[in-house]
Amino acid sequence: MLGQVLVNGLLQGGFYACIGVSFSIVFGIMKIINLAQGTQVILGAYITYAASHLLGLDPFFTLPLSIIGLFILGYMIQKYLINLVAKGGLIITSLLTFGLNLILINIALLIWKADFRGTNPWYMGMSFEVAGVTIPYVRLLIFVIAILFTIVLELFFRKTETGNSIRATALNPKAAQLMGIDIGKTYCLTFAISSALGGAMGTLFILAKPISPFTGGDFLIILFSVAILGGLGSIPGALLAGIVLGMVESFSTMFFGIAFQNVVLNLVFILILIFLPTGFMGKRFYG
Amino acid sequence: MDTSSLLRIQNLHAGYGDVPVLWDIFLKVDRRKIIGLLGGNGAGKTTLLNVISGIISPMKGRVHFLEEDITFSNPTRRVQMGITQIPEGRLLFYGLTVKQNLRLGAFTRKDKASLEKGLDAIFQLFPRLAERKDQLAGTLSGGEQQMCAIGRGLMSRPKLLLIDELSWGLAPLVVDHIMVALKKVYEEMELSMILVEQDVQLGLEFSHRAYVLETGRIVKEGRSEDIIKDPDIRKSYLGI
Ligand SMILES: Nc1ncnc2c1ncn2[C@@H]1O[C@H](COP(=O)(O)OP(=O)(O)OP(=O)(O)O)[C@@H](O)[C@H]1O
Ligand SMILES: [Mg+2]
Repeated sequence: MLGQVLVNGLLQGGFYACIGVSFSIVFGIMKIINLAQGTQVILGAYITYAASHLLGLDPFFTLPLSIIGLFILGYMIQKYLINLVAKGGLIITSLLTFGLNLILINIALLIWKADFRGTNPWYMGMSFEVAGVTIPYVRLLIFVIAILFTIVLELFFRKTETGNSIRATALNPKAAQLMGIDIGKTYCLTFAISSALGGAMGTLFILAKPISPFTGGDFLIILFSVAILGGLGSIPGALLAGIVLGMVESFSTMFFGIAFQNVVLNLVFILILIFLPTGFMGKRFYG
Repeated sequence: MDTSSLLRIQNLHAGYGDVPVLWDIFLKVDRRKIIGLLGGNGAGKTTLLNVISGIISPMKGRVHFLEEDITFSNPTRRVQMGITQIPEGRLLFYGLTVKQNLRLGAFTRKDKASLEKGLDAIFQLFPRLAERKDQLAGTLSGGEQQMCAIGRGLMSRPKLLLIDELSWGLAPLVVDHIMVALKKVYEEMELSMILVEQDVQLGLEFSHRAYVLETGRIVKEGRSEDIIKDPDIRKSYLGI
């Protein structure tokens, strides 16, 4: 029983970690709170829904489509909207992403209506058992891909020249400019990567659960919690935070029932922040 | 046409918003020359360097580099052409290692293969940086930070190096050490420099020619050895 709760929490946590990371990098690097990120995840899910129904593809194999689609969308949002008002500061950009969220929701409503829509891959109900713990294949797949993407992203930021130029821009935009780094482009790329990661998570989400245009809103509390608990902008921190949240959710559902899930989640969130105000991995030289 | 000229600034006016800070600046840097840019607080030295780097657009006037009009070129283009600034306050990437900082200096360079050679050259110039290459730049001492900033600037293989307040906040001994290194760089690399200094004595000793800025205007220019003998300059800047 305990093993099952732990495994459920871990599997859910991997997904939370990855959507949290996608949200956290935009804040960590550009100081932009992307209130539309939940809905961008959902758009990724809709791409999978549409492609798998129209083309008859296995929903999992639509992953490249949601990644590319959201990458392009994210790049354009940053280039033609956010970059134009970025100097206005946090409140202006937050208003902008708030409005953007409403627009994206309405576009989804227009195309797909308010109904719940899902995919039904043939491996849907299948699972295997290890030491009395049931592990559904879909859940494991989601977990593995989410963790894989998170690790790849961290390596991208640490090991590649482009990744380092993005970190440099976050640390000191003026110095980055003096090195010849095009800050506007760097911001577009960062937002695009975040959106693409969100889109990929949308594909994973709709493998397991149906969605409506409003499902993205449910992610917002998770996005904030993971980003803040992890230490803003820290990917390893977000990974840890996602898994902690998954565990808390899994345990609270077991002990207090599903109704109290959000209450417990928020309580733990506040407690951790009291004792670790910079989150798990807040760093001295990170903004 | 004067082919030895690297940078030419004509009739330049610049400022912040609508407020002008620089008036009617004419300035010329020849190949393989060190130019001193001197003046007190708020004279406009940093502003002028930022106009040359393309961070600030001029209100009026022209900037030419290698006979190309770069008045409205972006900073990236200027770094590619060979203009690199070592900014006031160093502005290192504190959360990155010394080596990562240096590598970012070469961001616009296409020949990534010779990057390791460039790193070696910097480490030879400043052995202290070699010892600390995997340390975060934010944990370096002031002198080491300035070495790292100079190294980062040199990684782009500049033709014109703009150095803002090299001596700021450093002990005289450290300044001497860095000056020796800079002289070596000047002798070994084909480059020119604009050296902004509040320490007028230092700026004049180290340069071929100098400009003196006062509240946004050039009030004196000429050979450094002449300016250092100028009674006005001696009185207002050297306290003699
Ligand atoms: N970002 C800015 N916005 C508005 N005004 C500025 C800005 N930066 C500098 N100034 C003003 O421009 C003038 C010139 O400043 P600048 O920094 O170029 O002087 P400086 O010669 O480099 O001085 P210091 O030796 O103190 O570094 C000053 O009056 C300053 O107040
Ligand atoms: Mg200055």
